[in-house]
Amino acid sequence: MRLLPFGFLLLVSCASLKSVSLTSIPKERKNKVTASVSKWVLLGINFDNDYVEGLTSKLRSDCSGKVTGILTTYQATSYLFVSKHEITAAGFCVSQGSKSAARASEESSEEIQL
Amino acid sequence: MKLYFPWIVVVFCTSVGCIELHSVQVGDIVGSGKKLKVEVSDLGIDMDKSLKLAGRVTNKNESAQKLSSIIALFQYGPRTGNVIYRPQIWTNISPDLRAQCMNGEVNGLISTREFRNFNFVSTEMARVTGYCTGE
Repeated sequence: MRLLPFGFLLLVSCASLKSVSLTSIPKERKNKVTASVSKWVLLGINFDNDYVEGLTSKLRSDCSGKVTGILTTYQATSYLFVSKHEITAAGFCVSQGSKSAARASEESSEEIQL
Repeated sequence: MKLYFPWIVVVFCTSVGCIELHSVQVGDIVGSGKKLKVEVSDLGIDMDKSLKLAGRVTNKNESAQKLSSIIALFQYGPRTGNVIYRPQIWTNISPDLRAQCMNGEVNGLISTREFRNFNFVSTEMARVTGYCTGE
């Protein structure tokens, strides 16, 4: 029973949003791709942030075309002695073939108008 | 041991330099290619801590406190990390990236803003990684 408050403290966490960014959103929004990387940090002792670099390769592995409209959020969740740093990126996979075809059709329609 | 434990963490972080991530931004990804990396850093100074330390060393705590209060008047407002004195160095990031990918497209950029803490001084860093395609 005495350990109950301690156990409660271990489970309670506070989340904070550190940064948010968004790139331009495409017209084609059918294929959504999501990737996240995270790191557990004990007592704030951290020596590198190299885990961030895995984010683009994870996003690229799910999409053979272009990934755009990427919403990136970086949040930290603090527990009693440890904190979890998590970066999530969610975007849309646009096939480059369809985009070039769409661009070609746009250009041809512009030519017709002229 | 209970009293000393937070100080052990402080001394450890001060001597080794714990790194903190302030922000991350991911740009559009077109394809893979040559990996690019640019890292720019500058020395950040925590004036309040530095002056307190100087006051203790020279035994002029009151003067150091007054000076710290005056400096605080023009160093207020939200910021990430400590103050720096060469803000123009961040403008080199884009030319450095372009120089690594002269004829291709730079994409898949991850921009991070980091801070390595050494108690009263710090390393204020901006790191950008990306890919060069179509070169």
